[in-house]
Amino acid sequence: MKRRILWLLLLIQCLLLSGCWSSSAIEDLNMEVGVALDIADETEVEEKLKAAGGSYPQQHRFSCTFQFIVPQGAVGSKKEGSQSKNFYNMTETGDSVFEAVRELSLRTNRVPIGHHMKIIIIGEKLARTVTLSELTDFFSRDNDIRPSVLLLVSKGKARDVLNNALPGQTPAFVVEGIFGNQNRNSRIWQPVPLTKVLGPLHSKSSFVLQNIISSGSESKFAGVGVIKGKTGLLGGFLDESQLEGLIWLTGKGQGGFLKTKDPETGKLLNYEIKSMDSTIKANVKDGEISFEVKVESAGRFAEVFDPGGERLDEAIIRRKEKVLQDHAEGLIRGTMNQIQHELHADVAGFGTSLRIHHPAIWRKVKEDWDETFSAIPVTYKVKLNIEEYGASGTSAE
Amino acid sequence: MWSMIMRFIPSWSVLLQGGFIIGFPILLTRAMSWIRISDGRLGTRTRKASGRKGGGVPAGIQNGAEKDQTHLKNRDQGDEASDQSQAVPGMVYSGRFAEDLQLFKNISDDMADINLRELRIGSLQLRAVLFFVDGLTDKDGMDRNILKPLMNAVRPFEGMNTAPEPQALKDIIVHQIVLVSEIEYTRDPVKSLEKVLFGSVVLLVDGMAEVLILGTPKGRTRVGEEPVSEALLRGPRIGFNETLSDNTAMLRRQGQNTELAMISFTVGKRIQKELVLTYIRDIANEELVAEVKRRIRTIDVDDVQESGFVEQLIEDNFLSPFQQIQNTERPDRVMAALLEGRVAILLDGTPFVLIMPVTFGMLLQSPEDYYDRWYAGSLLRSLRFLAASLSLFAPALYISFISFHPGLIPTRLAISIISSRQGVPFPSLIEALIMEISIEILREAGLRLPKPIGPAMGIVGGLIIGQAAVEAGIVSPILVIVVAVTAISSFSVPMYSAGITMRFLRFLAMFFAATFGLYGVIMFFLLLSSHLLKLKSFGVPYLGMIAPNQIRDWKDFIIRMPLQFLRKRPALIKPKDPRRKG
Repeated sequence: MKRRILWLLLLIQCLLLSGCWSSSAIEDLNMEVGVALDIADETEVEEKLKAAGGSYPQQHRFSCTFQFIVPQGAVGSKKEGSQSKNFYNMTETGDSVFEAVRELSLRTNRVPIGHHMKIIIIGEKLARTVTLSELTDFFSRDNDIRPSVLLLVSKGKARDVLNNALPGQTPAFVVEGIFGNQNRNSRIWQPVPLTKVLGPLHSKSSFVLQNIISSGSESKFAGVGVIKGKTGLLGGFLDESQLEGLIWLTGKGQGGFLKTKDPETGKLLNYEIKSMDSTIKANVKDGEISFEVKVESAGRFAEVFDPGGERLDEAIIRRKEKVLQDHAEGLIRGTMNQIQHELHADVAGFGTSLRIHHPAIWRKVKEDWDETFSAIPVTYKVKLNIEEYGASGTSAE
Repeated sequence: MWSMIMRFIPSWSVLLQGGFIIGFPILLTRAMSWIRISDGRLGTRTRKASGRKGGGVPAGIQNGAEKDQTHLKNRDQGDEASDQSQAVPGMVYSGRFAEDLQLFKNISDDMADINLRELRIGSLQLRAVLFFVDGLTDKDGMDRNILKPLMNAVRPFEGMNTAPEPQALKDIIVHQIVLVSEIEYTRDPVKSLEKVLFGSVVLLVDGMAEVLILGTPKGRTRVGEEPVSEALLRGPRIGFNETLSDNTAMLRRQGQNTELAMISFTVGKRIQKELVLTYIRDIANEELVAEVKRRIRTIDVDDVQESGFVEQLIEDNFLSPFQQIQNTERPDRVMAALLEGRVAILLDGTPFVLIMPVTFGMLLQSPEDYYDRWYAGSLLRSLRFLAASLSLFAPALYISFISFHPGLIPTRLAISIISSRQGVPFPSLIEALIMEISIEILREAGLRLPKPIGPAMGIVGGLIIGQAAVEAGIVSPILVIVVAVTAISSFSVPMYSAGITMRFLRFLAMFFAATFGLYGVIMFFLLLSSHLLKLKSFGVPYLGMIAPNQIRDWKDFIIRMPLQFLRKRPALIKPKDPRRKG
């Protein structure tokens, strides 16, 4: 009898389970690829909807703009003049990101999925007033969204960035792809995924996020925004040449160029960076902390406007190296001035060096490190090595 | 307190899912054992219920006389005398007819294809006997040039009343009677057996200690064409044909070896057919041979129409989707298997020879792996393993990715899949089933169609229907790719019947994927693995190659090591002689 009941039970299970659990066809999903967070500012659409009577009690803290992919129809059937955009943005203003996501479900039938989200851009005004940990909380909790999603800040309105792309391209992918150009330009900070942010936010140390600005039709990477450890807010920006200095300071560059004028001839010198490396050494003498930065780089002449066809000789190369070294050191000093004296934020890893080499001292100063850091003397040593002159050996002097 | 505990108890739907996952295998096992029990009530199968090899033969005991068999033709040697005495080296013919005859019979036991023909020579009525192998010997020539002159010999013996001295008798036979150019003499029984097996006729005459070896080997002209189901680029272009004696002769020619045993059985209750069990005496495991013999004797049907009947009636687990006995048309494949210590069964009237025991790896191996150099062999083998898993899981993975795990697809691919699936009205399971079933129908239709129409049909079906289905928006182009890759992969499995297993299991995998996603596919794989782990073919674990007792068996599994390193036979089959000589 018991066995019969068991059989019956199993049979019933099979019958009841004729459907498919948690199955949702891929074509019915709405693929989010990018998010822009801004201070509350309703779009035209939202205002019209509100005018028509669609509103919900809220404090209007910020606007979330979601970028979705528009599938381009069957691949086989080519449409004439298919210059239509392959993305669309939806903005929702609300109190939280989560609320905004769910508000979307009142406007579209498709379920948004975050598996493929690539970037989160935070507008300047918002980042200066709301802490980053609050802003990223939803993204780090959600189990759809990958922790590899990249964070950026935008001087200006973040949602404008998501509007700009060449025809046929998707802004989110373009922004993600620009990070791949690190070996071509030294003014791109390394991509910062969500996971890399959670640690510093927790330990209250400062870090930088790539800044992206928008012109209305195109976007550009322009310097970095500094997130202050203590407050978790955006503290300020490093402009492009200060970012260049930061790259030299940390040795995080993978390529790019260094441009200066030869003071003797007044002509342009362009040095292509092939490799760069930096070591920050922490010295403690009688309780006084000091840092020693040593930067080394190898590269080549990429473009030199010096006329004449003189043979290159060692002395000239040494002198040019010196010119370039001075320029690089100048850049570094400019950056150091900004982060030590203006922003009071250690974003170049000086603290890490101190922690590793002098843990006892670090424990004493770590509480108020950013402020302590501002008063510490730093010495620099930059060594550039021009390894080759390109295919043309005669054009320099 | 109570509510605290209740919080940790999952909801009904979760419990239901769990129950389903637990219940399905239980259900399956129950159904299987029920079917097996009802089979046991009806058939003779239960007789192989005990014993180490999964049969009734205890380990280490030599089999006695075979009683169930009757011999076709005029064969009086065979299994009655089997295994009682082996040839003793140094033994010679004595010249006493009865003794010598018995001696030869003893050394040639287990070889049912050796025939003997007794006769009386000429007017003296001297007793004599001819040994020959059916199929290797030119019978016409033997009748004309040996039998007839010997029987009609009157003149050479004119004026004699008793048999002359052996030397004189030999001279008379050689010089005056036998019309054969190649003649050798020997007193060594083993050598004479060798000659018989290679196609000569041996004449044993009463009173003569030396036997005459008369060279009448015959090259049979038609020995079967290249096998259709197992074409090879490199390797012998020969296949078995429908005549048993031709097939046994082909095997003899493949391996000229005195230890190749051929034991004849008669199967079928009303229409009797000859079946030959063959193995190499000093390699094959005795227990295995005994078990195969025993199982052959349990065959109880009116008529064994094809070797497929034998396969189905003697296999271990008739409910398993996997074949436990390999069939082949290639003599080289059979010989290779015999040399590994396996056993083969030949049936009169079919070119398909059965090889047993089978391990999983064999289904994905081809003789070419050994004929080509080892790099090529190894690469092709790994390719086949890949293709087999593709043909099993590709549609299931497609379904689970599309319906459950969009996050596991690379972004660009996901976008293009979404675009291509716009407007597809069916869920992915139905979509995949439509395409898979139409491909299977096409394949089946292609088999039946006459040769000139077949390819045309393939083009119409494959290309036009596929294209039209995409354009009509019934299926997505990605699925067409998946289905095509699956179909092509399943053709790369060298054994046709193994390919059928994959085709069948693929559909099961698709249903699992549609219900549970990737989780279900993994569950299906585990179910399959646990079944395969339990499965045995004649006492040899089916997955023995994948999880071997001795790691050296891996030398010849996915990667085929250079021949120099393959010094030992697979340990799995427990051959008598584990080393390959030379």
